[in-house]
Amino acid sequence: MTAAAMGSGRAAATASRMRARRFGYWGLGWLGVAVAAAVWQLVSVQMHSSIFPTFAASAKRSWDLVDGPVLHQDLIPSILRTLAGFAISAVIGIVVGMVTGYYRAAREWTSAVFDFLRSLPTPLLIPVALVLFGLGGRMVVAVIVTAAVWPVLINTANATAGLEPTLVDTARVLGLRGRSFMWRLVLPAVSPEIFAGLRVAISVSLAVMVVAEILGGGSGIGYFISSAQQSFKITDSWAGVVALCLLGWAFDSLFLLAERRLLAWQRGTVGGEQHG
Amino acid sequence: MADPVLTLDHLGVTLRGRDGSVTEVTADVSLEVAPREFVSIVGPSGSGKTTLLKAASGLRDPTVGAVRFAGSPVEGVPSGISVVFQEYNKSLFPWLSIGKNVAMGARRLAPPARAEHVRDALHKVGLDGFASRYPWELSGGMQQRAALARALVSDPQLLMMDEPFASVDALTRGHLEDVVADLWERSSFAALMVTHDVGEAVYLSDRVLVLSARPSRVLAEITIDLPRPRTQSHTRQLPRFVELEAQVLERVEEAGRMAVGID
Amino acid sequence: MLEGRAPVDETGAAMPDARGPARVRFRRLGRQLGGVVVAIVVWELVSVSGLVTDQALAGVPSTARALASHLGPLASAAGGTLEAWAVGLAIAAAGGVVVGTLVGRSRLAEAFTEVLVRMMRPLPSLALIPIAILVAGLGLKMTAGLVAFTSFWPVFINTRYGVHQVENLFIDTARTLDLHGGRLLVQVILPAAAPLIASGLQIALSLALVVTVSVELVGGTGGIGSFVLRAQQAGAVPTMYAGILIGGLIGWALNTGFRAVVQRWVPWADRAERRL
Repeated sequence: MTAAAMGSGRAAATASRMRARRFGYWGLGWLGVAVAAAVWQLVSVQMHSSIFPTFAASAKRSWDLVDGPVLHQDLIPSILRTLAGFAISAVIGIVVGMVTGYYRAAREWTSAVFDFLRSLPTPLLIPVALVLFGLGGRMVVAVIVTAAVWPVLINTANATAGLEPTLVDTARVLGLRGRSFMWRLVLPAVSPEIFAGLRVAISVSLAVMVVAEILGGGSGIGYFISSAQQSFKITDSWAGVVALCLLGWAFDSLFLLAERRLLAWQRGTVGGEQHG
Repeated sequence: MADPVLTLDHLGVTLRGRDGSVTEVTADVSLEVAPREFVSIVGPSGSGKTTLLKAASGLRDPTVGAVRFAGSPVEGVPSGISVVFQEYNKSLFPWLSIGKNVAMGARRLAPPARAEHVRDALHKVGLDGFASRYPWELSGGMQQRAALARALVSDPQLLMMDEPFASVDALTRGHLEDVVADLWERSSFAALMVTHDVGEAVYLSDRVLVLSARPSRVLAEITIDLPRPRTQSHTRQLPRFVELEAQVLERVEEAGRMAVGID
Repeated sequence: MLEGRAPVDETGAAMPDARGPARVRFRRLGRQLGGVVVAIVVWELVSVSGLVTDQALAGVPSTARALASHLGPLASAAGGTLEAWAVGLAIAAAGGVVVGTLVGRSRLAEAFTEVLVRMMRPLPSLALIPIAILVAGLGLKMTAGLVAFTSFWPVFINTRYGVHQVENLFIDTARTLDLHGGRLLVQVILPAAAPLIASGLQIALSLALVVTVSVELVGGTGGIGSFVLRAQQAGAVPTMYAGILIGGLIGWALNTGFRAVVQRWVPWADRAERRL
């Protein structure tokens, strides 16, 4: 058994090397961010322009935002609106997506209309939403839903329509019917695609939230950025953008974390090296 | 025996998983393939047959040991070696028609000669008239025959096959085996095939090597002295065939038991 | 003989919407048109019922009349929108494919850009509108620049992923066929990545339209966005809906057209996984 012993010794050595390498890649990623920030800093110092503040100034200002009253006035409302719009989109998208995906007739009746609606650039609906809901949170949430529902709905519908027939038959044999069929078979089976759709939806929500707030949020980070620009507090505008950037990154990271937990079962079925 | 086309000299491969785990897949495999010889490697699943074939073809560097093709050490895939993979749907390029896929194997030739070779290769595998079709328009067996045509169009000295018939149904499988046997008998290439199907290995080969479980080594070597040409209906009924098949199977089972014993 | 067998789809689960016999296709078309008719009828009923204030919703006949009487201004607005859209998208597509290919082929470059990409991807670039207006002023250059910046990311991310993710067996096969360097890139890697690049472009084209329209709404720079906003401010609700309708049609035509192009030029795309 010397070979096996040798193998495991080598295994330990290689494993630690792999860890080191992975840490190296992780570090390299952050180095990339640092380099981008440094380039911003250098260029802005060179340009010395009032509309292009340095990275240092913007970063410091965005920390002030988080640390000051802006957090409560603008940042938190924006986060809540985004999450509300996202949550409503997720529920509608998943339910309607599963129904239209599963029933061919439903899919065919809705497909042309849905195709048109999801191609419509949603910001065009902001003027309508302004009349319906006035300035503020409800308007922003409504506009988010009109945009964020589509990636969830389409992904869910496509995945449901493409369900492995064997899986469906197996569930029938096991006596799953009606709602329990939808919840216990369809939902878990299409959850990877749903997650992919949700991940797109969260960034769509953020983006649409900003435009809606710029045009009529009454408060919120988008409103903050645009009113700072109108009063020529450019550093504040940039700080708002940096804050949003971090917010987007945080949402995405949390999302990936949740996905990795909830979809652990899926890892066994993808990737991995194959041996003969 | 003439100088071997392929020599594996105490070959060992250690794989590293993405999670940092290390697996010694192949421990110590030595083998030779003579010109025009048909050699099969069988072994229990997970015995590293595919990895061994990748190392032998130059697709992967062995961790220890050496590979020699036509007398010289292998670095990268030598032009005299062609490879057919199990997953034809990931090996035929879906963006090229069947004809263009096959032409990929004959890029050394000047265009007029190339067209002729492609037509010829397609004819040999019975795919006349399919040159302009796309891989996904064909059945699995037809796709695998196209892959075979692409491998043979360059007139290789050695054809390597990794579970070439594992992804098709039983009827198609028998048909494909005969296509390969027929091509082999009419041409001058040597063949090295990896398979888990004992009957298939015995049916096609001059020699069958049985691999042990991981980390694998050659457990047994059985010479197949069945008369050629062989046919499915006749050869597989021969008492000698049944006897050889049982013999190989016994060694494979032995290898499987050893694996269980080690774990 | 096996040759006579009908083409078989081993990869299974083709989309259930794949083309079927004429009768099925005819029924589907009928249902799609029926869906559109139902949607229009519902729209008119809601408008007549007074459920929604006529400040926010115009009826079908009045919208049709507004559409007919504003054909000229609508066409020139659409032209303006399409111009900014096309210029920005062309820059984004070229840049995204080139940079994505370079980065995707190098593990180091990929690691280096990883965190940066994860921050930029969900960045609501629309937040940059107020700043872009200050930096570049109102006009085509600003709009197209912002469109290019925003739509660069999906193209870049998908290309990078597609190039990196090329099926190992394709690469192994290419190596047994003695394809290396530039040939490997052009004949194997790019075609193999083409489906993902195409879906990146598909995302980019919708995003580009959203950004164009948003800039037009915020900056009043002409185009469909400004048309809709001006109509709303003038209280011309039917005209506003005419504008929204045209905006939707533009989006729908671009999406549908691009999908047809992909189906024609990248016919193997249906078999590739979709991402992002």
